[in-house]
This record gives sequence, structure tokens and C-alpha cells, in this order.
Amino acid sequence: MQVNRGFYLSTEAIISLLLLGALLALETPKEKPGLTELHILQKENDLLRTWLLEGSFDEKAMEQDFLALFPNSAGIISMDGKETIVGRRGSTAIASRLVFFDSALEKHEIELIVFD
Amino acid sequence: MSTTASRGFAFSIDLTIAFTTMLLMLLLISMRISMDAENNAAELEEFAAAQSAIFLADSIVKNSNKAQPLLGTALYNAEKHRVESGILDKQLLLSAEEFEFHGILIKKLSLREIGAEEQTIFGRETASRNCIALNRLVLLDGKKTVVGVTACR
Repeated sequence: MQVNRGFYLSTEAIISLLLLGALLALETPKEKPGLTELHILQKENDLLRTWLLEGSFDEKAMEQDFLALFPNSAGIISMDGKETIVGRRGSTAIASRLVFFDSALEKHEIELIVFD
Repeated sequence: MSTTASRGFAFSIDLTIAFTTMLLMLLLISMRISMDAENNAAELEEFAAAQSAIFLADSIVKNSNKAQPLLGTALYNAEKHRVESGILDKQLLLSAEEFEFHGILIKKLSLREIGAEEQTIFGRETASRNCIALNRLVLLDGKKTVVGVTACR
């Protein structure tokens, strides 16, 4: 009787161990740590700062600047709500916004979105 | 007597199977933990190198350091008593040379005015897994210029 009980208990133990092993062996999808997003954000800020320092907001020139800094990426440049779309929209976006006042104290807003 | 023997035999096989399975599982678990630890160490090293490279490139465009241009080439505005972040001192930038900082070696520095050809200040193209190429947009002599930094560990 004791032998039989022992046999049943051990089978349970084996099943439990197998389950534990299977759980631990499961591939946990983890995100590889990276600083790509930070670098994209730095470049976006570079673009916004440069446009502000230059004080010229020509659509074509802004698009050219965007492509010089993000050659293989798509994005949206929005100046006071007027959008310029560069390339095709992606699923992940990193955005920066610049709000400034001109010499006539009029508020302007530039939004820059980069698709990863 | 024979009953006891057969029971004992059955118990031993059962125990052996359970013990072997347990050992196998422990081996698999320890192998997995060891592999994860190795991967994490390599990823951490890669991350630390990328972090240093990004911060070093950021320092070039935001700080001013006359002794070591690769720690800062931003223009110092004596009138305003401040460093102009994003506006570089061309003379200082052109004097930059290969430089190592905390295990990160800046192997190449280049300039590319928007719509123009690239101008290399020092170094040459390095295609390696240990290198990272970073671009920053600045104003140089009033012109929009992409500064290219290649940093290797």
C-alpha cells in the first residue's frame, strides 16, 4: 500500500518538475535595450533648434534637412498645422514639438514626427 | 517475501526515473540561467558603449572645450557669456584628432553641409560590430551641417 502511494506521489512530482522545467525554459520575449529612440529624439531636437535659429521655414528646405538627417526614415513635418509627409507612415513614432513666438509675438508650432 | 521484493523493485525504478528527470531538469534550468547571464552581460556591455558614444557626440555639439575639441566644439559667445549649443566653432572642430574617452575611441569625424559632399576631418570608414555611427545637425559658419561621428569600443 505504501509502495503504491509512493509511486503515485512520484509521478506527480515528475509531472510537476516537467511543468516547472517547461515554464522556465519558455522563451520570454524581451526587448533588447537600446538607445536608438534617444538618438532619434536628439536629432529631432537638432532639426527644430536649427530651423528656429535660422528663422526660415521653407517646406522644401525643411524636407531636405529631414532627409539629410533621417535618410531611410519616414516622417511628418507639421508647421502651424500644415503637414508635409515624407515617405510612408510607420507604426512606431517618435515626436517632438517646438512652440515659439515670432517678433510680432505670434505663436507658432512645429511638430516633427519620425517613424521608426 | 516475493511481494516485498517486487514492491521494492517497483519503488526503485520509480525513484530512479524521478531522480533522473529531476537532475535533467536542473541541468536544463542551470544551462538556461547561464546562457541568459552571458547574453545579458554582452548586451549590457553593448548598451554601455552605445550610451558613451551618444553622450560623447552630444557633448561635441553642446559643450565647449578648447583643450579637447571632441569633448565640446560648441561656439562660446563671449558677449553673452555662454556656450551656443548647436552652433559649432569651425576652427576648433577642424583641429580635432582621434581621441579615446572611457574605452570609447572616436575613429572618424566628418562634416556634410546639406546638399554638399562629405568632408572628413580625420579617420576613415570603419564597418565593425563594435562601432556606432552617429549624425548630428548643427550650424557651422551659418550653414546647416551634418556632423558624423564614428565611435568604437
